[in-house]
Formats: sequence, structure tokens, C-alpha cells
Amino acid sequence: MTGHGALFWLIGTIDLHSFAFYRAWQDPSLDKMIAAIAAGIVVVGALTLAAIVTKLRAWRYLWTDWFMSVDHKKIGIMYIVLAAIMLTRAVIEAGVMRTQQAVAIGQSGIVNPEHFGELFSTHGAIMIFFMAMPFLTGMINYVMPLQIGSRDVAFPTLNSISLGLTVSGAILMMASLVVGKFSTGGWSGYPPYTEMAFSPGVGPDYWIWAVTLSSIGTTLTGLNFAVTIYKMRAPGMHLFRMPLFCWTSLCTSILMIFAMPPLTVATAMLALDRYLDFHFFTNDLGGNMMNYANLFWLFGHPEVYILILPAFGVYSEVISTFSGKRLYAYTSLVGATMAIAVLSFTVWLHHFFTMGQSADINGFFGIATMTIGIRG
Amino acid sequence: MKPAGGARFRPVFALAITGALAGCAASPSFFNAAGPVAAEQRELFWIVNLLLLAVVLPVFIGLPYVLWRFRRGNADSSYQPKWTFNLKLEFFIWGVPIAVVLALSVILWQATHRLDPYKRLDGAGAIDVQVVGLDWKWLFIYPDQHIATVNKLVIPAGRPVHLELTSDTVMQSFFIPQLGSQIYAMAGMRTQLNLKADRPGVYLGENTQYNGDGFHRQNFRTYAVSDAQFDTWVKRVQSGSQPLDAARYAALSKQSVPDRPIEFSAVPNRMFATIIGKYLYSNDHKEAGQ
Repeated sequence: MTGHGALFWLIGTIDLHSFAFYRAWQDPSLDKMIAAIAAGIVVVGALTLAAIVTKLRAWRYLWTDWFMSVDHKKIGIMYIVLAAIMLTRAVIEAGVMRTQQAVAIGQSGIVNPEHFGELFSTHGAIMIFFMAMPFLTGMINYVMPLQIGSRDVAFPTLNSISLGLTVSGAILMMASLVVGKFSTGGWSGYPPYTEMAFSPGVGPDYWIWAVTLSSIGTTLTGLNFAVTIYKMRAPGMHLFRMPLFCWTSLCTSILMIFAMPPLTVATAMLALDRYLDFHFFTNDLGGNMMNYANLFWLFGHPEVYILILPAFGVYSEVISTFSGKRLYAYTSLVGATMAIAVLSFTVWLHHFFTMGQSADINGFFGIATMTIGIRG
Repeated sequence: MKPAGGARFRPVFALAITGALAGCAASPSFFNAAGPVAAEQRELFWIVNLLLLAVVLPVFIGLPYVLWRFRRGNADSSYQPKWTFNLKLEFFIWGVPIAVVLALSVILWQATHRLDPYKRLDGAGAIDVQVVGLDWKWLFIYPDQHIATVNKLVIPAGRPVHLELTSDTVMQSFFIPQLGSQIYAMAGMRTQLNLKADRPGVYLGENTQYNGDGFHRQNFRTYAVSDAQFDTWVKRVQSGSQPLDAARYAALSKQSVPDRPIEFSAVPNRMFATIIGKYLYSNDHKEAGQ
């Protein structure tokens, strides 16, 4: 480890070219200008927000009444605010991508291929990890303890820590607009493309750490919600008297507990590959990217139900309430939801039917997948 | 449940399907199948869709009907706020999907085995092609003809084609939609795919796994030609003066998108095995997925 000056040990490989503004100043092409404008929105947005809070003398209020609060309702609201901010960015990105697709027929369009790769990677990662999940987590946080008659979740401080981890991941996503470049490996970050040999930049590192922070936060959230539902129900609130939203929240929590660790493990192994030459998923020296595909989708498929089940719960509650009617077939809905929680762990292989496994294996996972569909 | 509005929906539905099919007439989609694999996949697609209508139609027709029938302003329909269960309805709700899935399971199990990409297709005179995914191009090696091409796959129509695939870079996915089936190509591993073109024609092939800046241009044309044309083409390529040697392969391996297809008059023996072998730490994971 020689040949690096003192500056390297202080700031690593960061230089002026790491900054979107500098890149746009050096090469004022439309692509670089779009990147600089995006970075500008982040910086100006953060400064404006800070200025407003200062003007209103609200720092102390924000800090003590919100950021340090362990009240499940306030944490729920903060999750939803985070989801709204990230949704705003993801929608803008979707607009840029659609514009590119509309104007780039037979020509290069408004962004270059690398930038487009970054856009679909950040858009996918944000929509899953920093929009949909925080939104649902926020809603469960707010509603579920009220529905079961609990004063708070089982571990209020842990709840605050989970929020902090998720927000930290989101901050990394926002920072990637200003400093460095994000991964172009998509939201699933398949190696070997995301390995050092093919993506030597900081992009996959942004992805690894943002997703890892979010997945650890979500695992803890799942534990928190499940314990709350098992242990903190008001007297008389038997499991089968719970509103259906609580049941779907319970299923989501169980899925979070068992599905997020494979993702954490996969991203940690990818990090070990990148930083310490571990060769888990590399082309050579015994690495095998198929193991990554299995780990990722062992998380990725239950994730589908993590996102959809609370929404099913909301439909069931809202429609029956506004129809002035009790919910039809409560018990079989509960049974079906719990069945999904189990079955969702038996279908991950359908995300890579084309990886060359035998027809027996593909057939089994195909039928397992359709079995889940019965519940719908 | 008698869907009263069913008849009204039928013309709209038929129009939608006709429109969708018309759009596919000249497209490189499996709807426009040019081989037995894609043709069977297209057939399966319609069977699955028709079977699923048994679940989808009652919902799409029944839901608006129920919403209208039991609206607040309708004094004729009954309001039963405490009604929560009906065993007969329950049998219907669970029975129809279970029956559909049972039927689909039988179809799926048989079709998955019949269309197993590793299964050789019937027919005489099968030819072997070895496919190597590179950034951002496809290399096709014809081991029996001792020639190779880049971004141009020439096959004799009507004869089975046995493809072996690997990658000399990141994971890629090989797909010629009009011939059917898709398979991954991964470094240090060998996957297989069996295809056949029924009729002469030009079919689009592509990589469907994102692999960087040149991804969107990693397409190739598949030329299905007559036996005589194939033999003539092979002889013409063999008589060329550009063999695929180590230096040319090294140049080819670099990230680039070739302007036009390339033809190589000769290839080293066992080149495909050599490309796989250079990643092998041991022999224990030579076959992908097994």
C-alpha cells in the first residue's frame, strides 16, 4: 500500500471530477447539465429547507419533538415524509427516462447510456427501498398500534433506529447525485457486472451501502412489528379479532424478518468481493454469480408480498368500512394471507427460469408460483 | 353470478385482440413465430390467457355489476351489513382458481419438459453452434465448419440448431424471440439451447441482460437459409483470409460495438472449451445450474 500521498489517506479517490457541477463545467453537454441540475436541486433544496427551519427557529423543536421522538405516530409520519421526498425524485427520473426513450429513436437523445443506466438503477432502488417500503412501514407504524390498542410498538427506540438507518440509506442515494456516480447495475445489482473488474467506480458501493442500511433497518422493523402484534395487544384483542390490516402487517413483518437477511448477506458478500478480493461471485477463482441470483431473489420475491400485503389490508378495511358492512370471509382471508407468507419463500427461482436448471426444477417452481396465485 | 353486461364487452375485447395481433405481424416477437419452439410458446400463451379468463372475467364483469347493483340509491337491493359468509360462494371463490391452477399445472409440467431448452429437437442434420457473449457483441463459433462470425448467426432452415453458450465477460442473456426460448450465458459455465427455424428469413437476436454502455446495440441478425445457401456461405467464409487467432480474439474481447458483422475463416480447435476453461478453478461447476 505505497504510492499514495497524505491526501489519499485523508479523502481517498475524491477529486474535482467526482462532482457533478465540475463535470458539467468541464463539458457543458446536455447530459452533464441534466446531472448538474439534479445535483443543484439536491443542494439548493437542502439549503432552502435548512434556511426555512432556521428562520422559523424550529431546529430545537424538530430535534426534540421529531427526530428524537420515539412516538410511533411521529415515526410513521417521518417515514411517509421520506417516502414522499424520494417519490418526487423517482418520478422526475422516470420523466427523464421516458423523455429519453421518446426522443432517442435513431439518435443519442438527452442523456448518454451510462447516465441512463444510473437513472434506471436509482429509480428502481428508490422505488423499492426508499419509497414503497418506507411508505408502508410508516403506515403500519401509525395505524397498527392504534388498531390493536397498544400505546406504542414493542421497542420504541429500536423503531427510531430503524428510521435512522433507512434515512441514512436515502441520504446516500441523494449524495450520489452530487458526488461520484451511482451504479448502473440496476436495482438488483447482479454480479459479476457490479464486481470491481467491471464496475471499478464508486457506483456499486453507493448501491451496496444504501441497500444494506435499508435492509438492516427493515429487518429490525419487522422484528419490532411482529413482537408488538404478538405481545402488546389490548386485553380482549384476540388474534382473530384483529382488523385485517393487522394480519397483513403481521405477514409483512414475518416476511421482513426472514427475507431481508439474505439481501444483507448478498450485499455484504458483494462488498467483501469488491474490497477484500473474496471471489464469492466473480467469474474466476471459484466465484459463482448464480449464488447471488439465488440469495437476491430469496429476498426479492418475498419483497413483492412485503409491498402488496399491507395494501391488500388497506383495501379490505377501507372498502368494507365505506360499504357500511362487515368484511366477507375474514377467516379464510387471514388463512390465505398466512399461506402467502409461507409460500412466498418457495418461488424465488421463477426470477431466473432461464439460468439453465433442469425442467423438473423449473416445473416445480412454476407450479409453486401458480399456487400462490390461487389466494388472489 | 350472471354477468348482464357480458355481451357489451365482447366486441371491444375482440377489437383489442385484433389490434394487438396486427401490431405483431411484422415484429420480431414470438407472436410472429418462425420455429417450432416459439410457435408452441405462442400457443401456450393463448391457452394460459384463455384459462385465466375464467378468473379474470367474473372479477372484471362482476365487480362493476355488484357496485352498481348494491349502490346506496338502489332501494330494490337488500342491505345486509352482517352477512359475512356463504359456503356455496366460498366453494366457487376457491374452486375456480384451484381448478384453473390444476389444469395449468398439468400443462406447465408437460410443456416445461417438452420445451426444455437443453432437449434436442427432432430432425436430421442438426448443426452445432457455440456462442460466446462478449462486451458488446456475440461471437458464434461453428466447430464442425471451423469458422466463426460476430453478430451474424447463419443457420440452415428446417434443421435443428444446438447452441452451447458461455460468456467471456459479465452475465448475458441470449434471445431470438421469433425462434423462442431465452438462456443465460455465464463465464466459466456452459448453458445450452436448442432452436429451429421453420422457414428462411431474417430474425432479430439480442442480449437481454444489461451489461453496460453498449448494451442497447448488442443485437445480431439470424439468417435462416436453405441448405445449399448455407453450404455456399460456409465455403465462402472458409476461403476468407481472416482467421480468428489469439490476437484477433484479444481485440474482440475489448469493450466495443462492431459496425458490421465479422466473419472468420478459421478458429483454433477447442476454442470454446478454452474460453470456459480459463475461469475454472476446479471442474466442479462446469454445468450451469446443476
